[in-house]
Amino acid sequence: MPTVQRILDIAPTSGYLASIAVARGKMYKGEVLDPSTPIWIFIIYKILNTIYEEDNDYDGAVAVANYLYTLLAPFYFEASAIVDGGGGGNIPDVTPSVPCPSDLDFLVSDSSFIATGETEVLIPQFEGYQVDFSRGGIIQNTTILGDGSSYYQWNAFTGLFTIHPAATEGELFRIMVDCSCGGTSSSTSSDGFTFIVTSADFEADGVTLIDDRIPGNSVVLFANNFTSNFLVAPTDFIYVSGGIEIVADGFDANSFNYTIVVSKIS
Amino acid sequence: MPLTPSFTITESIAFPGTLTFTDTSTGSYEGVLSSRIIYIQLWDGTYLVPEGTDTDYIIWPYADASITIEVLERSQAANVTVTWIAGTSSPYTVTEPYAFPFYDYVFAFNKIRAQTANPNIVDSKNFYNASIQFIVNLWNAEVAVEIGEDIQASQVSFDKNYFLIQNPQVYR
Repeated sequence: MPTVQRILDIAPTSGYLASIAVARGKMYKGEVLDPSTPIWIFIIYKILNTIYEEDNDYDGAVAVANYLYTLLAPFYFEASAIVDGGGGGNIPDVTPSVPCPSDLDFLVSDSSFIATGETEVLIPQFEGYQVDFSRGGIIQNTTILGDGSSYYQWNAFTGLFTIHPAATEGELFRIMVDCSCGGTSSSTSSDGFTFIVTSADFEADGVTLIDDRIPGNSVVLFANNFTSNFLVAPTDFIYVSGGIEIVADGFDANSFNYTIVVSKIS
Repeated sequence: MPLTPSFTITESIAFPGTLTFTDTSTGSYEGVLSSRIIYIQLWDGTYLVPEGTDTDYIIWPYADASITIEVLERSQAANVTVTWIAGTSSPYTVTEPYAFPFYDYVFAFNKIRAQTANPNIVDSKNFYNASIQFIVNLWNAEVAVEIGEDIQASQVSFDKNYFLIQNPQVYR
């Protein structure tokens, strides 16, 4: 999650981008952006900015900032490009300002990068990049087939790398960075997407969302009527064949009317 | 170099009724300055003073570079005058208009905190309308002083928000 100051830096730009989106009348998959969104962005920004300027440790500032972030999430990457020097009117091509990170190549042991028996690790230097993974020389898939087949999951947003099954001593692991479609976590992929779904789009179990835009991509979700935090894999949802399954406690699309923003992050 | 008088006021976000005055004067006075006096006057002529003060003004000892006083019970706009005293004369006086909005900011912040815990509340037409009114009034109150130097216009906007604060049912 961005810092409070970063969210405040982005908010004004996000507000006018949201106004443009409202004026266009149609933004995602047939859904019109709530016309009150730019107004709420302004209201919350105005209040939080004044409070935060006076006291960086004001009680509740982080929670309010995170809530503001959920409102401006669909515009975050575009606003970041503008605020960070890209200018308005278009999103410039992002060229990484640092060399592409080196792949991670190692034999699993008690002291290796992913140690024997472990299933996850944080790789902050890979944030924002697409990642491929091979174990024992075999390229791994990201789809969870549910039949015990091995897979991996990568969250370019948080840097969390997860494998199944757990690492076995002596295995050869290679975690490869795809620098052809990455950069910093604030860059915008040329084939990025954001779309909105509702409870009606979920399967009969109330937790599975099947959408052909998801397979092969890393996404982050924001469910406006469920929580004020982003839903991220694998803690809040997991990838399944054709889409995702929400595993966050209390989520039930059969009992509640959700409006959910799905954004591709890598 | 002769004294160029000036002062600043900061309102406490933790305790919005509290104002801290700081003397930011430069240069020096050829005589002996003994104290300063502060007048905080509302648009209707009323003077604000701390509870228990018998005068219309607050005495600020010259030895103290700053002074903190508790005078506000709500957001208000006022003309603030500081006079530097040298014996029986008052060689310097500075008057500035101020808007003190932090009571309103804290109220609005707490409303937003409630909103983060219950995001569906934004579907309430009353909540939405009251929130918009509040922020517009706050904006107007600040701009009236910052640009128009008009404490009466500023106070009109603060008074509208005071009504919203005193009548929470408008948010339901």
